[in-house]
Amino acid sequence: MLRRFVLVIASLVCASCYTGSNDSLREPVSQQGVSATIQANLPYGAMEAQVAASFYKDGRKQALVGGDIVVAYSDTELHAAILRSIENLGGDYIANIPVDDSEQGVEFSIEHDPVAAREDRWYPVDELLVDPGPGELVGYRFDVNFPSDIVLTSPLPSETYTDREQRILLNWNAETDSDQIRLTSVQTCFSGEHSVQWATSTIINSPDTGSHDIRVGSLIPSTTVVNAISDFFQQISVMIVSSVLEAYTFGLVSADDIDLGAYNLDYCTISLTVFREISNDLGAEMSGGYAIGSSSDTVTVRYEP
Amino acid sequence: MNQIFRLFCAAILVLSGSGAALAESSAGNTVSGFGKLGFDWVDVSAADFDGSLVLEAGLRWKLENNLSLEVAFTGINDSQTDVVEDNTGSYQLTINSLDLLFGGVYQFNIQPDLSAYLRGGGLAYSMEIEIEEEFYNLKPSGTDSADDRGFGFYAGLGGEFRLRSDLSLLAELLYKTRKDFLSSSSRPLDVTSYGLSVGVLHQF
Repeated sequence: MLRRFVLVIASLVCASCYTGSNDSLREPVSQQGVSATIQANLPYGAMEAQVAASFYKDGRKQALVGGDIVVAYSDTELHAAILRSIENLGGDYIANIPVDDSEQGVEFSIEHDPVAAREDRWYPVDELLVDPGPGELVGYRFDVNFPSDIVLTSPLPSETYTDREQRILLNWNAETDSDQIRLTSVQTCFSGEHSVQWATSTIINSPDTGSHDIRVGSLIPSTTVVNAISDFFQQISVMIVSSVLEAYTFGLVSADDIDLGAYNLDYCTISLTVFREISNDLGAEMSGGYAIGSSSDTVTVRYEP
Repeated sequence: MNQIFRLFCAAILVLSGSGAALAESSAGNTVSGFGKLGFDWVDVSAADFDGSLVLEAGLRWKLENNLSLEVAFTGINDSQTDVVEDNTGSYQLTINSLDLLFGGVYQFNIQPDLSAYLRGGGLAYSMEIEIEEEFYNLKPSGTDSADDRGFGFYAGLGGEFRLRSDLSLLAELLYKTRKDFLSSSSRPLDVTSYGLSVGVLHQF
């Protein structure tokens, strides 16, 4: 039911939503050779990191099949998690992994393990196994380190805004100049029995200044709603903040159009997540892409017109 | 035609021959042979297998007025799952089984030509499961199979309508469970089937 009312509008209107600067950490995927787009995020106060990865060959996203898997390791391989794609052949892999010591970061590895790849199946895969052998991406490994924590000191979770002209003031602990700050928001608006949800994501500080303010009306326009989640760079952050399944189920990373002006809004919740991002080296074997380590903090405020 | 089905047909021929031989050697009319055709619903762990046509053939020896011993062959014939897709590939499983049933039958007379019966006992199975797996045309597809032998039990209830002194019609519900299939694997399975069948019973 909810999905029918998910709002995703063309990115044209979104241009007025934010005045974010360009992403300085993410190199584009190369049209030749192998590229990787990787992110590991550690939310403030959490003992579990969210990890996501995609791999490309000659600019085309690669699905890992037949026993090839992406495995994330933390705490010097004390913990391991297989990244799964919710959509078969989607090529976007994501998982959560326990992290006891954030200093050690997360290692990503593409492996061929035909039994582990099928561990969710109901039958005994050790007895019944068709193994077509490893694919050509098997063997790549990447290390991702986390930046220092980011902690939001404002706004407070209880804050309510009543006018689109009001500004939400975000403050956090500033760190080094090389950190890049991303703001990802998920808006959920309620109108009678209906609800609508959409997401936005943009770079707000590079270098890190420790503060940013944003007009409520730029997050919740009066006539149209914009989903700025047009590429996987942004999709990863939305999937991370809204939980993977929800992001897909509610269409937060898809592209449907809904006219918000048709709704008489009762109230909206605005979930604001600020990421501190740093770049990690992918290694000389990679032709393009990026490996981002990030920390994040989230606050949810309310808009009640 | 799969190997287990060929074995099943051979078993029916053996039973038919045995029944005739036993009848010739027995003092009275104490041996009966039966054959049934039915449909089985197959239930394996969390998987959804489709049903399959199933044959059953056996012999009964009357011990007392209402009590008989029986031996029968039956099985599972090419019962398949739907094709399931996941991150790794798409796969479909097929089960075949040959079951040897050994147990007893107790009969309740309702009318001169009509009776009900309960049957039950142990079974021994020889079962094979095959997987056919494809990898979205990104890697070569293939098949693998595994087989195992083991034991289980069966229970059923049915009705018998006597057409003449040596020939009856049978209708029956039968439950069979085969325990610990692939017992040496990481995940042994119980393979259960529920069947409806009709057939004939001939007194030799």
